[in-house]
Amino acid sequence: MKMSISPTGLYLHILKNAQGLIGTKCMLSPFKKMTFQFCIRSSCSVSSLYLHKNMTSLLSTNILVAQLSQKKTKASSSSHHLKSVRNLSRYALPPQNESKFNQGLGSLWSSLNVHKSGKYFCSSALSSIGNQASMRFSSSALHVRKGYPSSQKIVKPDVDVDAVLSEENIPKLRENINRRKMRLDIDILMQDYEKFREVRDVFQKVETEKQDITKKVKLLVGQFETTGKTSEAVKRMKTLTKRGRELREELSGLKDQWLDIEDKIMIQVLELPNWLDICTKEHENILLEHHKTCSSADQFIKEMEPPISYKDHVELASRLPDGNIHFRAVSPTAYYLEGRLAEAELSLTDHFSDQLLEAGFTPLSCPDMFKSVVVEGCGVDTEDPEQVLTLSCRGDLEDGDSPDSESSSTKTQPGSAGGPEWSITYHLTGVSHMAATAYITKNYIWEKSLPAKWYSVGRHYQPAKEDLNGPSLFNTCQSSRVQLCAATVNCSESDIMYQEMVDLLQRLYTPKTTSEIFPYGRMRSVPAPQLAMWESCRNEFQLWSPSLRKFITVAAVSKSNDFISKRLMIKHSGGHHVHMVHGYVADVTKLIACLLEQSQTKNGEVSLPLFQSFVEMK
Amino acid sequence: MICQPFGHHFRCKLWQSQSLLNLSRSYVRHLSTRQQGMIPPAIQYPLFNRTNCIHRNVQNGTLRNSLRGFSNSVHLSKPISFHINPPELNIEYLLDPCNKDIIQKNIMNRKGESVDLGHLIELKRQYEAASNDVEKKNILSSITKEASSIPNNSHPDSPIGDEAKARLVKLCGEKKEFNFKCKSHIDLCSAESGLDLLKVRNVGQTTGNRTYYLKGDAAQMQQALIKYTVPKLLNRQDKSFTLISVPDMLHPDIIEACGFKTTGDRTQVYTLDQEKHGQICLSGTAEMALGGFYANRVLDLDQLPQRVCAVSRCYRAETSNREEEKGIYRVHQFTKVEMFGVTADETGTESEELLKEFIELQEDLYDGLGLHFRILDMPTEELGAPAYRKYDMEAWMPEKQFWGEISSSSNCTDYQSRRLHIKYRARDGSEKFVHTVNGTACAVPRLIMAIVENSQNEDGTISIPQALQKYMFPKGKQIIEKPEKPWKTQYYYKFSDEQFRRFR
Repeated sequence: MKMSISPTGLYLHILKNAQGLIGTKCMLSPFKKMTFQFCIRSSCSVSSLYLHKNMTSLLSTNILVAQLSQKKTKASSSSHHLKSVRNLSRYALPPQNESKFNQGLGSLWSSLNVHKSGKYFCSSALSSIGNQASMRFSSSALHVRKGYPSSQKIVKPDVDVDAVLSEENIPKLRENINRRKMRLDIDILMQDYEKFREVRDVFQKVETEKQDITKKVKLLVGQFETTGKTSEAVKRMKTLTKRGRELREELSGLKDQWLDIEDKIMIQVLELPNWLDICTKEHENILLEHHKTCSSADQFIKEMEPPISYKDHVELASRLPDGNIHFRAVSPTAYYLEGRLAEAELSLTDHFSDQLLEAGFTPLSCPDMFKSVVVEGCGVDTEDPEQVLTLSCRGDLEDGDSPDSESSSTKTQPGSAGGPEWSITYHLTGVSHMAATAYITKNYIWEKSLPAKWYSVGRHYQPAKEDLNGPSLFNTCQSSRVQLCAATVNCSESDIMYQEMVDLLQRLYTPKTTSEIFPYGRMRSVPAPQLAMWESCRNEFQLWSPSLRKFITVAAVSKSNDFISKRLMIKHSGGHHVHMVHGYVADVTKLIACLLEQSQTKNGEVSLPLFQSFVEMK
Repeated sequence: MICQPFGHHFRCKLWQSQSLLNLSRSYVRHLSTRQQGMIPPAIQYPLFNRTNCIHRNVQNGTLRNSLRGFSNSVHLSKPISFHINPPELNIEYLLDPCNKDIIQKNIMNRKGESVDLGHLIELKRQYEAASNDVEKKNILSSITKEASSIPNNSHPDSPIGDEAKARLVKLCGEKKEFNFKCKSHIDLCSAESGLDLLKVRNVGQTTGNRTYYLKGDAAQMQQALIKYTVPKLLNRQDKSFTLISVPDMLHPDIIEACGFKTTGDRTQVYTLDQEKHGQICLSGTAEMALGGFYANRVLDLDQLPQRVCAVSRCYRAETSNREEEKGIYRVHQFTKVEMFGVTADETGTESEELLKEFIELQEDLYDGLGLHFRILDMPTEELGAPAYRKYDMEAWMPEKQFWGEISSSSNCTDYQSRRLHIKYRARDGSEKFVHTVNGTACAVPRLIMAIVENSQNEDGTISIPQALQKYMFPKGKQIIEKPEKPWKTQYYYKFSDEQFRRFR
């Protein structure tokens, strides 16, 4: 999670929480020094943190944890604290205040650390105090701390920390992060890694010695049986057992330290992005533009410059005799397509699915909700409400077909205040790159069935981005998508598959003959900073929106190589991880909007044959 | 300017007057483009003055009230025109002492929540006696709150009692006799059987229990069923449906207004994390979204009846441990084609006629698929709060030897329209509440289950019903056989080294 906190937002959020949860008296006066209490109620105890803030120097934040009342707080309340700390991290913070804020959180964190009671505390990696780069407070669903219930351990990501952070890799990593313009600080990671290695060396040394002693003791016991107890042997035995005990204590002391640093490193390493492909550039690259091939394009090129005001799709739809788009505030960005447009949605979906069947894709209908492990495995931050929709916990729906946890005390308890501690979180994404990935998570695929190509049709859900341009189909939480996924044996096969999919996109959106009427669009390769962390490269097909005067992405293909399959244990029977290509051939909702806009005439009617020909070609 | 913190999404931008200006601009633009139905009609509701549509608020320069309830920044940029007032119940009828016994009996017959009618009637008396408006308002609001849990009336012909009392209306199609032991859809379609159409095992760790994947021909059959159903609804003379694409995420108030509980232990409604996304629920059926589509609208008499249909994803958090409900019978997520109708209430029988029409349509649809099914007039205990009358259709599932529900249609009369405020201008000029009718046209997983089990062949193949053949790939495909190039996967967790060697 990127650290970005707005003082006001934070302030209000805390206030809201304080009011919402406990109703503690708060004084809200933006210009005065203020103190208020921030309470979290957990099922068994109420613990409170005092947050002290000086608003004049916003977030010079002496987030003083003046009181973490009830020192005997149980694990459950600690994890609530953690949750609240996480909540704090969701605001936009001006850069100049960031480090100070981090200091504050750092101290908050360390006090929480003091109070964590052993192993049931959420694993987390908060970089050292004063870390100016990004931080992550969340636990990871991929890396689960040793000693946690096995129900939490769904996968074991195949990530070799030493290889990733090896000397020769570091410059490449830096370059990757710089090119992507990500805010990850490798130096801090390396500091942690140094510590990680130290602790590991000590830990391993002690452990080897302990094993050595156990071996020796065993040998001695054997001697006792054959030759009887000699005084010398008894003496040796005593020193050995004494040393053994010492080592055991040392080991148990080290164990927590070791696990802490391991968590820290693992979570940070899992945040590192995929390697960039050679065809990924720093700037976008237009691979193809339908200037000449597209008859309707000519018109748009001519008309792109003069300031004729184009109508947007919402207005155009309202002029259709047999269709319309209605925006109702029944939920954020909710829209209803009526009549002709709803039919267009179905027939476009059919059109693409027919094309894909012909191209040898296998249809796959997938669930719409995924556990955090899949979402995180697919490189999406599960804690970020702007990346993925999260469902509220419903522990009661689990009837445990997964291997169950070691302790019944931590089992989910539906209805308990604040949600069950080990409850499983689901995320709603619908048809997305997670869908087919979830299908093969933790699976071996028969080598002979590779390369495999699937497609799914259905609803895609994502949090809408903020814009102030009023209702539009270009920014919706829900859209109809035709999604692609392919798994291949190795890297070169995956390159071929990627090219095949790019060609497919091109074929679908390009007229075969010049007489065909096709929408005006272009294919572009996406620059490194715009890639998601799991992508190594992406090509997009974009259509022109005359009303916004910009290109809208309606289809894309991305290469992830073995990044996702390594995280989610997807191998083929040859024993290696599969290489995957993801993409979608159409965001039907946006496509309809673009088609509508490109079909308008000068007097604002939709009468171009474009819309019909594209929608009704079946 | 005071502004409430709207979840964590809150953005400082909003503090700037510029964005407010934009907001009102976009609102004005919005108004000019699509007026109809966007702004709730100013219902003259003397006692509840909660109609705080944005219009008024923008004029007053405060955004606060209109934004309350939708605690999501996404909304800050949108005109908030949706607002659900408290239900406009038929208090004159419900709280008439003469009707007390009838209503009480109806509640008992339907096993509804118990309501203290005596207390309510007393409240109504107080209400009538109250002298000032504030007092009246308070009393009425508590009446509405309590009385809204009174269920709809029941049709006089509906059987009284539990499930077993359902009245058989009609038996359709022929029961298929098997001269071999037929398999369940799970075994028939599993990867082990070779057809590899369905995955329901080893999904708990990634997508949770009761999730399923339809593969290959089964996924095609899902699309084929939609392509079979929708044209049947759209291409009807005079009585054709309008297709509507609906949102799957809804505000809990709409779901409640349709007569479904969104809170409590037994709720079947999924909710998004409120802290992260505000108050959003997932729709359990397109009926909810279509109800929301009509909410707060006043229709003209000549626009009625309206028939609309929608293809949507449905999310239901229901569980079951019954043996026959394994596989894809009872699932959390599925695709469905839903029919929804809005009728007038001039003669009082319009909605019953539409219900009859829906049932005929359903019969035609399932007959076309060659299913053996029965139509049941459902008894009072099975109606749920909103339905006045309900018909279920149950198809014969040969392997487990039971009748499995494949569709349901109900007449909700004015139960939903009083809660969603859907009205029409009656012939006499007054505004009356419409009646709503809903019915399932195609619930995909259950139909697939019924089709697959009933049309299985002894050699393990499946015959595709003729009506669906033209929608399959390649067009006209008649039989689902083992795929030429099988697509094998094996779960890690159940894999020994020996097995792995063999797998390779």
